This record gives sequence, C-alpha cells and structure tokens, in this order.
Amino acid sequence: MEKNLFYVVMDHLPKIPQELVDIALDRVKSKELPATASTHQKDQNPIYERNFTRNGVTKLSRSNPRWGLEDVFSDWINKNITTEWKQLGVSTSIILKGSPHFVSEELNVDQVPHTDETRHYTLMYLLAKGNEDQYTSWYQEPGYPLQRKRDVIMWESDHLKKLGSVIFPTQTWVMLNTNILHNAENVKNERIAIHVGLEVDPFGVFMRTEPYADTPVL
Amino acid sequence: MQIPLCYKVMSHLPPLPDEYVQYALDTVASRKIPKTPDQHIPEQNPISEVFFKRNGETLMARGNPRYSLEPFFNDWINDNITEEWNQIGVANSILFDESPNYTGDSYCSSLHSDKTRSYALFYVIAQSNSDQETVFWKEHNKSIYRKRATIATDQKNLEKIDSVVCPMKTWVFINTSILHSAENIRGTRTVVHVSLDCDPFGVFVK
Repeated sequence: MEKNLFYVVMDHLPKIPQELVDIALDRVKSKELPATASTHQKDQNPIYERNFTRNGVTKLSRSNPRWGLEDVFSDWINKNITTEWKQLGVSTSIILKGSPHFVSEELNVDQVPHTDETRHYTLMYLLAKGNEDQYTSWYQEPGYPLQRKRDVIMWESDHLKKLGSVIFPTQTWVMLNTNILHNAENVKNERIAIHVGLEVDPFGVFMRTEPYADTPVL
Repeated sequence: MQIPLCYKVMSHLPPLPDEYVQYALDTVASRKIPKTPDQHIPEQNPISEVFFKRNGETLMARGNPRYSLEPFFNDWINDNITEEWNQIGVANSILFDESPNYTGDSYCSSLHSDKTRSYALFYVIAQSNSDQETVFWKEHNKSIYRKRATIATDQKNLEKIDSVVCPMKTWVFINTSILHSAENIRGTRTVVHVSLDCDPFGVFVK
C-alpha cells in the first residue's frame, strides 16, 4: 500500500517572478492587522478567536488572515502552475493581542489543529518567516479517519496523535493536504505565504494509482 | 498514461435498511418532476440545460435533480458509513422534454465534474435498465482531476478512461472530480448520494 502523504515539495514548479512577489508583500503590509476577530474585514480566511487546550492549558490560537490575489496572479498561475485552482491569496500569521487569552508573542506560537474551511489542498509558497524554525504538523484523531471533512477544529488537542512535522523552505512551492488535521507551530512573528487553494489535486501527487487497501483507523 | 482509480465498489459497507430506501423513493415520488430547468430548483443539485456534442451531434443532457434526505438519514449514515459527509440526498435522472431546446432523448448526463463535492457514495435504488453505466473521461492536455463544475462540450476532446455499472443496493464510491457521465439511461435511475469533500476511506487519496 502506498503510504499516506501529508505534503509534497514541488520544486519542479517555477518560482514566482519578483514583481508578483512584491505585489503580494505590499498587499499584506498595506493591511491593518486586527487585534480582535471583530475588527477583521472578511476575505478568504475569516478570523475567529480560537482557544484550544494543549497540555491541559487553554491557549489562544494564532490566526492566518488571507487576502485575494486573483486580480494580479490569475494569468501567471494559469500559465505556469495550473488552471484548476479555486482561490489565490496571500496570508500572514497574527496573534489577536486584544484577546483576554493573549499572553505574549513568545508563548502564543501555535495554531489550533484543524482542517481547512475553503479548500482540500493548497499550494503554498512561503515568502517570509519571522523565525526560521516555524514548522507545520499533521495529526490524526483516534477513532477517526485521516481525511476529515472541512472546518474540523480540535478544541481539545491532547488526544491527537502527531504524525509528523516539517520546516518548509521559502520561495518554493509545497503542496499540502489540508483535509488532514494540521497546524503551523512555533510561529513567533510573521509567516507570509502565497496560497493556491484547490478542491482537486491536479498533479495527482496525493492520488492512488495502486490497487486500494484499507487505511487503518487508529 | 497511468490510469487513476475512478471508483470502488464498497461492498463491505452495510446496505440501507428497507425503511430508508422507501423514504428515499417516497421523497422522489413526492416531487413534481421538472420538465424544464426553470420550473424547479432542487436543494442539492441545481439543474440547467446543458448541451454537448457527441459524434458531431448536439445533444441536451439529462438532468439529475437531487433532493435532501437530511435529517432523516443523518444518524444512520453517521453510525454505519461515515461522519465526514457534507450532503445526503436522493437523485433522479430526468429529461427536459418540454423545453423548447429539447433535442430528443440523449440517454446520458452531461460530461462533467461535480459542483458541490469531490467524492460521492452512490447507492442505486431503482433503475429502468440494468446496463446503465458511469463513464470516466480525461480531456486531452488537461489534468485528470478537474476543478468543480467543469463541463466538457464536445466528446471528441475526451478519452474514456474507465467505466462501472453500479450494482443495485450496493455502495459505490466515485471520484467526482474526474470528468464523468451517466450513460445509457433508458428511463428511471434513482440513487441515494452521500456527498463528501474528503476521502475518509483513503480509497483515492494516499
């Protein structure tokens, strides 16, 4: 049986031209980052105040607002990456400093484990990291399948089995299966990434071509 | 070309109890079957006039309005199949034979990827003929896996890659992101659908 994949580094895909990178960075930096969920203007990834339990402690999750880039990125993505996308956007990681559960940038460094709300896969292209050792982790909830429906939020995370973690390189396309519970961890400052949101896997990197065998439920 | 998995017969999943089958049949029977797309908008699968070319001839596709079976089915599906669904419904194949654009019975649906889901569990509960087929296609120079609501307008641009005759009262898991069509429908085709945005069985996705 082919082993489960959580991500694939797609370093054969072309790098984004600098003029488009600059537009994406400008778009993030032109936004006033919200201190509370209520002050956020809804775009591709609405901000909610999410508190989750880890090691028995209630923690404020980092948020990842994402703003559309379709107006300037569509043609380049269609010609160089894929035409099968659903959304194009740029995101950054923030912590809602107005929340009563906010402690400090050094302690509120993780996202709540979740599946994505608007997509099944994303091609992510990291532009900037506040610290080099930010990583992405994947999880499975005991008694549940690996692939979960949209917008599953693990308010209690201590019972999850961590399946793996990886530090992604910058300026490189990485395809993530966002139907598997995952989060960004150890994010101490910004984490700016371009996203090509997908409801299909046009490259077939996650799709089976071997005869099927049952996937165990933990 | 490496042929992907397009479907899997899930004969290990339990059959729907008779009362659920009857409820689904009654749901379809209680609905007035639209004769044109503008007469009725079903909850789960809006219908529209779709035309495509086959062997040079323009055909109007059959419609497949799908009506919700929630919440009657929710608990049984959660307990016996999966909790990871996004819709549960029953669909019935129809002709828009009172539309001014009707081209005659084409015996098939459009060649499409689905609009509201990536995968579906089909459970056929009524069919007029037992040789109805679900056919999977690939468009030349395009990915096998297509974004939602992609409709192919001319079959000459497509290559048939697989097909399945779904057995009655058996769950069949379909990758509805691959272009597909229901073929050779000579009358009734009534199917319970469990729609999914993910593959909880790991059949298609590693």
